[in-house]
Amino acid sequence: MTLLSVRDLTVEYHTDSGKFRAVEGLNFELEQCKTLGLVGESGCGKTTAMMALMRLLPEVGRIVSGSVTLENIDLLRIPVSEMRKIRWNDLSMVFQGAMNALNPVRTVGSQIREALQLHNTVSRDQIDKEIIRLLDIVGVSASFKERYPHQFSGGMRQRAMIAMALACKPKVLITDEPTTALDVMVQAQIMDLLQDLKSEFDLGIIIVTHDLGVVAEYCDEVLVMYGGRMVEYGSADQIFNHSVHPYTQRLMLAFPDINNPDEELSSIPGHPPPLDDLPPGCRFEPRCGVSVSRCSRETPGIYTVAPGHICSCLLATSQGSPADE
Amino acid sequence: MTEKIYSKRSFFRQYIGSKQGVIGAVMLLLVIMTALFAPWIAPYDPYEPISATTEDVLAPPGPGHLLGQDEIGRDVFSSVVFGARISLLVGFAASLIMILLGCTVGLVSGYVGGRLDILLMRITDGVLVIPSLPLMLVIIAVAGRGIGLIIMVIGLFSWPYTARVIRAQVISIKERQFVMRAKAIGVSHFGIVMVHILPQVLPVIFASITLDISAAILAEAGLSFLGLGDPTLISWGSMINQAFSRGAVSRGAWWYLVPPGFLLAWVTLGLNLVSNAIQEIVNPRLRTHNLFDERKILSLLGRLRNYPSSQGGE
Repeated sequence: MTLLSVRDLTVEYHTDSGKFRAVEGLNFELEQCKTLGLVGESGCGKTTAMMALMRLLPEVGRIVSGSVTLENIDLLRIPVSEMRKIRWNDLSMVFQGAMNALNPVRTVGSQIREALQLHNTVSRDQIDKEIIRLLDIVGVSASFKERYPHQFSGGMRQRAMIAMALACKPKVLITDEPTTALDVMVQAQIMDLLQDLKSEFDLGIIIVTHDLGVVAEYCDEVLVMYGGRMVEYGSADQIFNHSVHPYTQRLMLAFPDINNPDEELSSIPGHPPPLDDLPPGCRFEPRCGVSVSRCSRETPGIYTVAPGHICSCLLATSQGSPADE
Repeated sequence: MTEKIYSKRSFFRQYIGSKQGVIGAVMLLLVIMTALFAPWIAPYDPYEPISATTEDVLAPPGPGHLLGQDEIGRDVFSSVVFGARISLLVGFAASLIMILLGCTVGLVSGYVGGRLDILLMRITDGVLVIPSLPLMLVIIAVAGRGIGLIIMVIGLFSWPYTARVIRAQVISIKERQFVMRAKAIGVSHFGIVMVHILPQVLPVIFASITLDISAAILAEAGLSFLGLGDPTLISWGSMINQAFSRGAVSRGAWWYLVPPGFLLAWVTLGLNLVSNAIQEIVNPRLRTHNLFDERKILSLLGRLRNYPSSQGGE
């Protein structure tokens, strides 16, 4: 069952120094009980896209076009007051950097209470019990309810954020870099926790991350972004084992392979294009090792590689796709 | 025992636990009590007309007069006791005006931003650049020298500093991610300002309250010194003024100058200690860390405290 479907989402930032397109023509779908991984370099529009979904873009951000459909409601066309109800009730988010997303001068319990109270999730006299239950779900002991965020370790803060996001029993959970800045043991714990919660609450989860290891292990589907656009979208198997887009392939090469530990990692030379100076054709063309002359002129369309596997690369259309090289 | 440390303690109990807080509060309470019960504490009524002999003029401290007598033979101790009333009244009332105005302008300006921010800040700048002392002098000279007017004038010209400091804090806090999270959860603008932003600004507000109170007391002293205080009332400022202008310095009458000056310093110090203690409670980051928690700090303190006594026992 499709929970969330995003069509042609385009977001612009209107700043003093001009107009930037941070996300362009993004499409994806999220099914119940599935995990979607959103990967790409820093500044490629992942967080912007998620903030647009939540309708929490900063003042300079504008959603230019597109639709975000959650249970037959287009989130981009409903009034703000409606959106306020849907946020957290149906669509909640674990923000990037759990330390900064918790108010340092209020106890963690009181911050979870806020969500429960505002959305009338449980009756007033049940709130305390519910906070303890939520903390218990994410493996934080009840006595931590009255402690302050700075008394929590990094992993516990992340757990508290997840507990907060689960407070109103959402259908879709967006996690923005849930494992960044955590050590590998804690990373694994957090990811396992998300995995358990997914099946327990029938959640659809979107994981925004840089960590391909996380994506390979926990995601059902993967969306690779570059320069604000989708470059490749498919099942985890398709992306990891049969990637077509040169960017995805280079990204895989930059990640250590457990079967081939002696292989040297290769980085992708250069930087992602600045959003105010995008190349005219394919956005990856200046860094792509296998580009042809057409690439710098034509914007690649979207091509179906296999059922459920799409790619935005001119070379993917020809039979001898760069995947064979 | 350890459980109790982490259970939510009331503000009062936390405050009682702070040494400097208690000392500061006692210092302030002493002065406030003195002001409240002035007629019972002071042996004479300084507002009562007296007939003085030449021996009474600037007489040094003696059995009848604890702090000596002033240039017209009044008891200095009684004047100081009654002066506390006026000085504290001006200090607290004027700082209340400053804080209310400064807080409202600072919070609204910082949180709303945009054109309203520009407008409010230009007004603030306008008030800030007015040389307030000459203007206060003019207003008081024209409108009269009542205590109410003095309070209003001090309050209305001193809020911009508070407003600017609070606005700067609000701007930095409102961009933090937990404000975004609160917004996402559905907290209203009013709720965000009151619950998430105001508590973070409180330390700054408390710090400015202490500064504001002492600034107001000193401003009143300054006005009195220039002869524009309420002529019917005795304040610490007007006492220093009179001591200065009526020759107490040249005649070495320290008992006339020192008590009001000492009390000004005493009140300011008390206010500062109270402010520090409140800041520590409002801002829990000043107290603990997840790697070095209260229990360890407390047990360490306990060990330190026990150390000399156990040494002595051996």
